Amino acid sequence: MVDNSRVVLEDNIEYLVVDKIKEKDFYYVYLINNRDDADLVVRKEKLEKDERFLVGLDDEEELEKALDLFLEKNDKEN
Amino acid sequence: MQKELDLTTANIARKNGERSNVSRNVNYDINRIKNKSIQDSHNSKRQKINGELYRGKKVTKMKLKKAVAVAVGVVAVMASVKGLHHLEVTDTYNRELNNFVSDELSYSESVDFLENYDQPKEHYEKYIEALENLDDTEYNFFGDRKDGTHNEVIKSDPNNLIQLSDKEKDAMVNALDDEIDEYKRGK
Repeated sequence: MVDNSRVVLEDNIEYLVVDKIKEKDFYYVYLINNRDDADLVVRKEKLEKDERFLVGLDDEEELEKALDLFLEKNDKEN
Repeated sequence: MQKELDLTTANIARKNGERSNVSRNVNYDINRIKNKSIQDSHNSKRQKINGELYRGKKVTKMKLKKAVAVAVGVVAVMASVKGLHHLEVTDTYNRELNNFVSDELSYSESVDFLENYDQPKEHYEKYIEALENLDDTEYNFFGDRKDGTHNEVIKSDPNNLIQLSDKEKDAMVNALDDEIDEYKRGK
C-alpha cells in the first residue's frame, strides 16, 4: 500500500506531510524535511484529468498566502 | 548570476529596530523555502502522486509546532523584506526622479514639476504599472535580464540590504520616462 504521508520531491529528499488546506479546486500541502525540521516546503496538490499531481506555487505572493492560511489554521490550535 | 539574499530574522529585526518573538538562534533560510516551493521556468516542481497526501502519525504535535514556528519566522521576515523593499523602491525612485527632471526639463519646468506634480503615491503606482507592463519572459526568477545585460541607468547603493533587480530598475526607467513625457505633453 502506498504511504502518502510522505513524499520524495525532485531534490531526492523525503518530506513528511504536515498539513493540507483546501483552496478552491486544489490543496496547499505543507511538507517538512524528514531530517531537518526547519526545512519547510509548500506545494499544491491538484487533480488533472483524473491524475493527481504535486506542483510548485506560482509566485512569492502565493507562498505568503499559503503560509498565512497555515498559520491561521495552526497557530491558534497550538 | 544568482543573487543570494541571505537574511536572518535577527538581521531584519535589527534593521527595523523591532523585537522578534522568533528565536534568534534559528536561521530561517528565506531563499530555501522560496526556491523549494515556487515553480521555476523549467516547471521542475511537478510530480505525479499516487492518491491524496495526508498527515501521518510520524508528524507529532512537536513537529507541527516546529513547522508553525518556521512559518511564523518566514512570514515575519517576508513582511519586513517587503517593507524594506518598498522603502528602497520609493527612495530610489524619488532620487532618480530629481535626476530625470533636471536632465529632461528646463530649470523653470523642473521647479514647476517638483512643486506641482511630485506625488509620491502616484509615483509608486506608475512604477507598479510599468512593472506589470514589462515582458516577464525577458527576465529570470531573480529579475535579472536573460540576455545578460544590466540596467546602468538606475544606481543602487551597494550597502543597502535590498538591491533592486534589473527588472525593477527597467520598470523605474519606464515609469520615470512616462512621467516626464506626460508632463511635457500636458504643458
